[in-house]
Amino acid sequence: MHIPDGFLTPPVWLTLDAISASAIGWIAHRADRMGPLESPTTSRLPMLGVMGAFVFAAQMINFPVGLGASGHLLGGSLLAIVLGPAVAALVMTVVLVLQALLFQDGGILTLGANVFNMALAGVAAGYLPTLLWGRSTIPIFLGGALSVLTSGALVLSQLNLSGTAIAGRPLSIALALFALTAVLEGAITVGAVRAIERLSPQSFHARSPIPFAARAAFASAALALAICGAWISSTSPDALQQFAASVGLEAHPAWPYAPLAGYELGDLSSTGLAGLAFVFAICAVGRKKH
Amino acid sequence: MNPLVDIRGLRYRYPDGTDALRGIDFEMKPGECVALFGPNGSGKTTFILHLSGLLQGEGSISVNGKVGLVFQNSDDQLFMPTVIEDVAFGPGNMGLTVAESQARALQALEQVGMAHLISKAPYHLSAGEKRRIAIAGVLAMDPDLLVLDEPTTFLDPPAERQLAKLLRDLPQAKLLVTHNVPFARALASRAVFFREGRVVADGPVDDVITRFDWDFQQSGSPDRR
Amino acid sequence: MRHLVDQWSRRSSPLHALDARAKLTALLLLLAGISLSQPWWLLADFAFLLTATVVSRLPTPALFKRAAFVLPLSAVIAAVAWFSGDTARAATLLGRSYLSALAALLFAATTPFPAWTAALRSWRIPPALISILQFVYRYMFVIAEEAQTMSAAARARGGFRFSAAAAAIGVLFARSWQRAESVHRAMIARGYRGRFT
Repeated sequence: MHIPDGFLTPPVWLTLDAISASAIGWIAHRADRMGPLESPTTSRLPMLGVMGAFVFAAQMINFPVGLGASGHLLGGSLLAIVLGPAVAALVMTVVLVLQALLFQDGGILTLGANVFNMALAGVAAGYLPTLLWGRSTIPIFLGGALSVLTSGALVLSQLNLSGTAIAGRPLSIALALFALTAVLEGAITVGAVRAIERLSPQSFHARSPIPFAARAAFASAALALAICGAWISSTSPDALQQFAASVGLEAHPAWPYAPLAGYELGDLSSTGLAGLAFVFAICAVGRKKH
Repeated sequence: MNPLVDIRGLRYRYPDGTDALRGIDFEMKPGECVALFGPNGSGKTTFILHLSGLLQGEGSISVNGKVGLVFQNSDDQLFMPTVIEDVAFGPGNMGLTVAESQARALQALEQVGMAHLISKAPYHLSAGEKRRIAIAGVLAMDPDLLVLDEPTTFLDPPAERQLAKLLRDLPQAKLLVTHNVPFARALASRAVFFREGRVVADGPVDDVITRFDWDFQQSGSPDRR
Repeated sequence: MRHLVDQWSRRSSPLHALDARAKLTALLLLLAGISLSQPWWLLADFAFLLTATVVSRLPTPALFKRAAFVLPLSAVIAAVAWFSGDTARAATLLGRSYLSALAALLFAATTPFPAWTAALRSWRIPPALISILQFVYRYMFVIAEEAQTMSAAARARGGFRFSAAAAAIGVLFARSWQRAESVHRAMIARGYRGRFT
């Protein structure tokens, strides 16, 4: 899911770099006031560092998925559920930086995009279900699944915005892969959270309860956006592209980059999911202020 | 002479309810080397955390000097990217400038014979090297009492011997928490035995060992060849 | 676990000796250039990187092979472009991503970790982030080794079942958590009062 260099156009990666840098910078500066980890025996910095190392290591544990194949944990939602979204965002950011530099997993200029997709939106999406509905199995599963789907949707939209149109059959395959990964992540996250509850229950961050009305409002908004996105994506992509052409939108620009390269109406499905992610992100930010 | 350490009636209960320490009386003189024996779970680690001020229990604790704690797992103690930065961490926290901290660090590293590794990353070092660098990190803070938790863990026999020699040459008072009886015999003049959070013996090393049958190789024991 | 890039970064060469900030700036400019280049400019970029590789005295085939890690993913995305009929674009996508990966790899392989974190610090990246970076780097090999040991132990007993793998993650987490507490205690024992200088 890490986007390598060379696939995003400058307007896209510059914007995302700016957004991610501001968001992470703001969270990092607020690191002093992260309440849940303040206690005589724990401290933020070594904790965050060691947790980041944990993510790297945990990704090496192989989960059998049948037919000889295996998958592994991605980690954003697990970290969010256990340590809280702000901490998770910081740790995932650092993990992404190291993955880019040491393992060539993801590009350097696209770090902003990858951070946005996985450390910000993915973490927010991974956190929201348990925030709203507590730490039972379904919300945990949803958290894992949604974090993958959100990141995936954002990757697709960013590629689209950069002129690499993925539509039709390849899009269906990509979405199917994302769906599979999402289910796997959800399942692994449930297993891992349960194991941590048994072995290290004191590690969970403190959550303040939110009023039912707020919960209902957020849930409805999220659901509405999701339904929108699903409906639009179920519409035939060919029809959408024809419509785009008739309105004069170019699908493939001549130059390697142009300011509005590749923005198609067929992108709306990803936009729907991206909008969903955005709502999640706002919810998570709103939570942190309490 | 004023005792370096004077502890009376130390009690401590963990947040989960475990009574780890149930009234410890303990004394140490400057320059003394004491071994601390006891079964696992008898409160030894909890006790040394109190000595260095990391935990606060009830009772009276009087420590007339600085305490340097060397942890059992050197990996947890060497957390900076390079050796010199790690050893300079302590002095830096004491308010010294970067240059002064580095000078102190270098001095401490020379004292433990590890000055040639200053730019190395701790990850690449052997257990014995890590142990000595951890000790340097504590020495750089100029302590009066060195507390070492299971210092011979992971050390091969040559490294053990080197460590014993190093410790013998250090003038500071030393408290050795250890299961390694020969090591303790070689260095300590006195031993204290913990059981279930209490001190049940305090005397010459050999007496304590014999009394509690604390040596793997014991005369009369069927395991001895 | 010996990490290859980490080892390469500790060698010496004219490229290794260059200031980290200079190299980082050059890297960013080069990456931006690759991203914007007309296709024929990519050849010039390649020539530049090849020269840099020679100057770095690092094993060229190994370096080029490692940069190719990026290719599977790029190939997939490029294939999509190819099948949409845009073959030129597919080729340039592949070229751009490979050259970018090579440039980033060269930087990482000639600049030791402490050097580039120092560079970031001097560019006023929040100190909290730098500290977290340092701790992650310090412990990722240690904890990864634990994970490998657990995997090896599991393989010796027939491999992980799903629930066992989840339990392994739980154990890894618990140990990591305890380790973090230990590290924090060690920091406090040496005077840490909550702020890195």
